[in-house]
Amino acid sequence: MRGFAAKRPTVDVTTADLDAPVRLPLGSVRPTDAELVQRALEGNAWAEEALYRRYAELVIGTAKRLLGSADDAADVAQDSFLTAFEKLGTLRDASTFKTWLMQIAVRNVHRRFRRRRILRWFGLDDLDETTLEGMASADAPLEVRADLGALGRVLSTIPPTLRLPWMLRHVEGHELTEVAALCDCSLATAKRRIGLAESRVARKFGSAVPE
Amino acid sequence: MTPHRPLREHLDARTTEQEILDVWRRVREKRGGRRLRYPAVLAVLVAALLVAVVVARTPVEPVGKAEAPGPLAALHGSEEVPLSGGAELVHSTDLSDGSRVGMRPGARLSVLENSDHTFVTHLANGHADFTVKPGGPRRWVVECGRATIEVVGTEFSLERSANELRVEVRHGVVLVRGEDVPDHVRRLVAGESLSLTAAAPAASSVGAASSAAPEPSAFSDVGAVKSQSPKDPPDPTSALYAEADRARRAGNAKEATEFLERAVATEAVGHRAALGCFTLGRLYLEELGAPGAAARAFERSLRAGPPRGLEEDVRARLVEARAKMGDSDGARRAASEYRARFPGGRRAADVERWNPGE
Repeated sequence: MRGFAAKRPTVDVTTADLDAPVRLPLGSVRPTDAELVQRALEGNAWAEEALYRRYAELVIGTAKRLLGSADDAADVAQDSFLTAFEKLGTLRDASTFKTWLMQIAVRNVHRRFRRRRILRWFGLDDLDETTLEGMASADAPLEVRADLGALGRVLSTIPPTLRLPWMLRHVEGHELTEVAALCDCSLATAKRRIGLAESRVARKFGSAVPE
Repeated sequence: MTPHRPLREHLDARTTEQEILDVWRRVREKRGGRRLRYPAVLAVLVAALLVAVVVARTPVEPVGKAEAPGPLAALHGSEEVPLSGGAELVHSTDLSDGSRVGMRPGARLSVLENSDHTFVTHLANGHADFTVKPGGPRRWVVECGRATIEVVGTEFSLERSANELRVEVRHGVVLVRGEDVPDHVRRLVAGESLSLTAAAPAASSVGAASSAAPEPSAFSDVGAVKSQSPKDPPDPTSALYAEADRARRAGNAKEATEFLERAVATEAVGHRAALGCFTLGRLYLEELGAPGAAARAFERSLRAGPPRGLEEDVRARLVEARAKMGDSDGARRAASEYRARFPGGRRAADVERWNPGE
C-alpha cells in the first residue's frame, strides 16, 4: 500500500521542534518522503529537518568520498540542502526527493571541482585533500590500501567530468541508470564517460579496477 | 547495486553527528536570512571589483544596438525567478517578457533551453495555453513528442495525452512539424486546429477550431476505418469505437466505457483492440475511479498484443491500477515485469512512484 498513505487513518503527533502538529499515518512512524515534502511545502519546519536528517549522512558521506575533503563536503551538503529546500516547489514527483537531492549534490560536487581548478590557477588552493588511501577503513588489508593509494593517484589525473561518473559507479556502487540520473546525462553518455575513465584507470593502473 | 563490491566498503568516511549538526545549523542560518557575515561581504566586494574591471575593459557598444535581453524568467509578484534548463512549470506562469503559460491541473511542462534568442519547452502531458508576446526576440519552440510547435507571437493551446496531441491556434500563426504531420509540416493560422492521434502516421486532421465537423477517431489509425472509402458503411466495431470516441470527447466517460466494452468484446487481438482496452482502462482509472476494472482492461490490452510503444504505457498503468486497488503483490509483479521489459523506460519514474523498488 505504499503510495497511498493519504488514505490511511492518521494521528496527530507533536515533536519538540515543531511549528504545527504533523499528521503521521497510523502504523507507520516513518513518514514517506512524499509526505515530508508535502509538509515542508506547507511551511512545516519539522518536516524540513526530518528530510535533512534522513539524507544528511548520505549527502555528506558521498561528497566526502568524491571530494576527499570534509570541509568541502560540508559546504556541498549545505548548498545542496539549501537549494533543495528553496526549489522544493519545483519538484514534480515528491517521492523522487532522494534522487533529486543527490542530483543537486553531485552538481555541487562538480562546481567544487571547478572552483578548485580556478583556485589552483591563482595558486590559492590550500586544500587539505584526503586521498582514497587516507580514507581506507582500519580493517582494510594492506594490499587494498596499496590499491587505493595507486587508484587515488590515477583518479587525480582524470578530469571530474569522467571521474565523477566512475566514482559514483565504482566507489559508491550505483547502477548505470542511477549514475546517469545523478549526473543529469543520458545513459549512453554515462556509459561513455565511465568507459573513458575506466580505460585511463586500466592503462595507468595496469589492471582491472580493484574490487 | 553493481555486481562487485563498491570501493566504499573499504573506506571509512563516516559522518559524525557533530558534522550533521554543524551543517544543519548553517542551513538554518542561511534559510533564516541571517545578516551577511564577513566572508559574504568579502565575496560581494570581490565580485563588485571584478565587475568593475570587466566593465572597464569591455568595448562600448555602438549607439542604438539593442541590449541583449537575457533568458526569460518567471514572475512571482515583483520577483523574477530565472528559468534554467530543466526547470518545471507546474502552475500558470507569467514570464518576464510579458508572455504567459497557462497550465491546467496535471499538465507537465519543462524548460529545455532558455537563452536570449531561444525558449524551448517540453510538454510531457496535459493541457497548456501559450500567450506569446508578439515581436519578441526569441524563437519559441514547444516539443510534444510526436510534433514540434514553432511560434513567434501568438496564442495557442496544446493538449497532450498518451493517445493524442491537439494544437489549437487562437491568434497568429504556428508551424507544426513532425513525422506524423502530413508533409512533415503544417502551418496553422487563427481558428485552425490540428489533431495527431496515437501512433498514427496518417491519423491527423486539420480543421477549423470552431467547426462542427466530426473529430477523427483515436482508433482510426489502427483499424479498418482508415482504409474505408467514404461511401462504405463503417464496420460495426469501428462504429462502436467512433461512438466511444465521441462520448469520451464529450466528457461522458460512463457511456464511452459501455461502447468500448462492446467494441473490445467483438475483437480480442490486434493493435486496435489493445488500444481500445488501454483507453477503457484509463477511463476506469481516471474518470470512474474503478481501479479493479482498469487493471482487468490493461491485462486484456496486453493479451491483445499492443505495439511496443503502447505496451510500455499499458504496463505502467497496470502498476498504478493494481496499487490503487490495494493489490500490492500484483503491483510489485507488474512493476517487475515493466522494469524487465523496459529497463530505464520513459515511464520508469511513474512505476517507481506506484511501486518503489528495493
